[in-house]
Amino acid sequence: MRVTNNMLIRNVLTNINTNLKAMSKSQNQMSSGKTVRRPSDDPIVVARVLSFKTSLASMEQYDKNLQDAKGWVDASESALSMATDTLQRARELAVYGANGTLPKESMQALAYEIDQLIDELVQTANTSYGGRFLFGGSQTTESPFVRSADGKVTYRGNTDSLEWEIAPLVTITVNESGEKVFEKAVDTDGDGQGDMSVFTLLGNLYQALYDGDNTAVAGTLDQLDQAIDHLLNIRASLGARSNRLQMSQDRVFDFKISLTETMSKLEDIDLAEAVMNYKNQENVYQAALATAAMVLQPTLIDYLT
Amino acid sequence: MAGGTFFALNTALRGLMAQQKALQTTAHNVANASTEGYTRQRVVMAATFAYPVPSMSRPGGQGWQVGTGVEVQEVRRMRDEFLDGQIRYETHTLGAWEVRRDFLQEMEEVFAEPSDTGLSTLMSDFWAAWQELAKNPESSPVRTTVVETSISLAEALRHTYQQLETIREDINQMMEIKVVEVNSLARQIADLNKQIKAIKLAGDQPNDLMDQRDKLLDELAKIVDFQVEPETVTVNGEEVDTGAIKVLIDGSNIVEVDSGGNLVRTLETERDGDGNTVIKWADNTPVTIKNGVLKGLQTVRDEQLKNFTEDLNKLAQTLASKINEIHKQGVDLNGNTNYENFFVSLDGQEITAANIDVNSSIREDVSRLAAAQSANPGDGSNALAIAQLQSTVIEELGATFDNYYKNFTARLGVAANEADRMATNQQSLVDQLTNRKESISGVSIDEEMSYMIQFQHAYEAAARVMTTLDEMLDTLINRMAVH
Repeated sequence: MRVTNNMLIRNVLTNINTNLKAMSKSQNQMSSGKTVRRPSDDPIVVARVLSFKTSLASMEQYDKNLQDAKGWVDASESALSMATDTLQRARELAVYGANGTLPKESMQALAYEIDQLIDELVQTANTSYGGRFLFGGSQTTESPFVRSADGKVTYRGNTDSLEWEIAPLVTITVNESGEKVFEKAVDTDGDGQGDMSVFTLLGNLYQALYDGDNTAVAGTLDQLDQAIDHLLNIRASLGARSNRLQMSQDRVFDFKISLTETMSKLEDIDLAEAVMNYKNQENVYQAALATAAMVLQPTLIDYLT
Repeated sequence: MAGGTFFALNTALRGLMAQQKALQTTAHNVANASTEGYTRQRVVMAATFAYPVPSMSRPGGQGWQVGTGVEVQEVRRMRDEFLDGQIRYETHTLGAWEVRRDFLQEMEEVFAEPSDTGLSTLMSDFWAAWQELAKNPESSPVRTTVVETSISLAEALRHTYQQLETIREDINQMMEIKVVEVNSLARQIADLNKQIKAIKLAGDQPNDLMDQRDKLLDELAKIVDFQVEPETVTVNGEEVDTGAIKVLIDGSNIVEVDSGGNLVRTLETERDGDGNTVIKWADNTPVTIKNGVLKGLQTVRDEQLKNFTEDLNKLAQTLASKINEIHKQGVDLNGNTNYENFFVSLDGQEITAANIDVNSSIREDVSRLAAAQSANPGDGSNALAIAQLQSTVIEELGATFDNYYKNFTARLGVAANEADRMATNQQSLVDQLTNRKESISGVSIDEEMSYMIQFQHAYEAAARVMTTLDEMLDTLINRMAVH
């Protein structure tokens, strides 16, 4: 093949340009820390990275949801723990009052304490978490239980459950409605369904103590046991739910780590390898420049006199 | 000495003149060593007709043949026309892939994925905001976050759409400019045709004009595909090459001129109903362009750009309709039912990526966001239903919203990757062919220098012959005195 000066120059330029391009790509990778910048660099890697990114973002959100749900469930559980204590105390007082040996004044003193306990229980039932009432169903902005001047406690909430998403299309009920917890605590007609409120029960106890009616006081003991059991059952279920949430959270955490790891493997550069490649390209580039200087210089003119 | 005393002087003179012309050509080659499109020239020398010395003693009355020297037959352009055709053919394809690559890469920059500012991140933020709302429906700050992230998403969709439209307009304008360029090149080629024809007619070789014409054809080759045919005339029943050429686009000669010197067939552009540039002949007949930059522009506009714009519109439209459908069934914080749309269009037309926006009454009063399905403030079930759209396969799209968007970014990536690869391959093919052309037509300084020495010596030798003849004549005339 006949070789001309222009060909030499053109080839040298093309090669130097190719080397520069490779160097620029390596430099880009090293300074950004990523192997790919745009989908066309490697469509498959970028598609995977994008879907990992979306997964990671939704995992972050589910993690947040789980955390919030766990907070809500734990707060409900500790409120019910307080309510159980209150009922335990009421039961102690009822046992006292059922005794039949107490003078009327002492009975009335017990009745006053029950009255205090009712207030305490109302307060517990109105526990709020992050400014929202735990036991009002979806009626979260006003206190669900109100005690009127005549001592009656009414429920203003509803039975709605609050459903939060903790995994794609999987929801969990985070709340227990006040109606279920406090209003349907005692089963008086034996049909297996609660039909009497703990507040009514305590009201009855108060009335019985106030009236000094030992038999009536003794009559509430059984119902108090029922109410305490009812609360314990709900607390057990809340505890189980809290565990489940904790486990989900652990799982999400692990998943997030493995996602991040895989993503990093895909899109992050191996710095050692990148630097090696770059050094290699730099050498080739230097060599190309040196060769160009040698090749392009001499022609026959240099040797003609 | 047969042929007379002064016969050899003439022969030597011819030698001097031929070598001089060869040296001149060498000088021309060296001067144009870096001229783009220049083809090296070579003088073709041949011995002139021999002079037959008349003789009575030989059969036929002819004596021996006496050489009469040398003449320059032609100054030849060292060029392989077949290679020219090959290079132009590959250049059409190169031009087409190069513009496709450039515009697809520009589109990639528009979508800017993967990044923390692309639509995919905004969509993630959007879904996360609805999730938060599902948990905190009574919270005004959370409601505001939902509205603000939705506004960001709508703005990003509109912005992306607008940028795709800008690219479309760029393509259309570039087509218009390229068509003007084609006509201007045709004009110049037609002018050269005329000059070349005149010089050829006089029996000379218009080498440098032909180089110029070839260079213009190379330029044209990038823009549009064409065929080159020699123009011939019939003289005495024989086809004779006039030196002019025909440049055929879709079968029509674009360098044909009428008697007034005006081009007969020129290309024109007009805009169709969508604002797209359409290329046609000046007499309104359609033209089919099969390759080159013009074809590449058409392809990228009518296939890729159109598809991606449609996909983006479909995404915006489906997102809006699915969310509106659920939002309308909800109840707002004030207990109002029978609710309005969450996403609306800015211009009252069907919602697309061009006009999507968040309902202004919701923007002004975030309590109007229908997060609930009942009149209770703590009810976030409607917001949850919307948030769950993220993981739902949408029938119209055949995928979830996120995956649909990801699929089309991946498709864009594959298209840009393919265009880049094809352009690179095509470039190296053209480079290789150009190298072959350069190998044949390029000026080699070393070679020219060697020839220069050769011609110089030949010239010196011819001059020496002349001096010798001069001395001979001197001897003959001055020394041979009559005694």
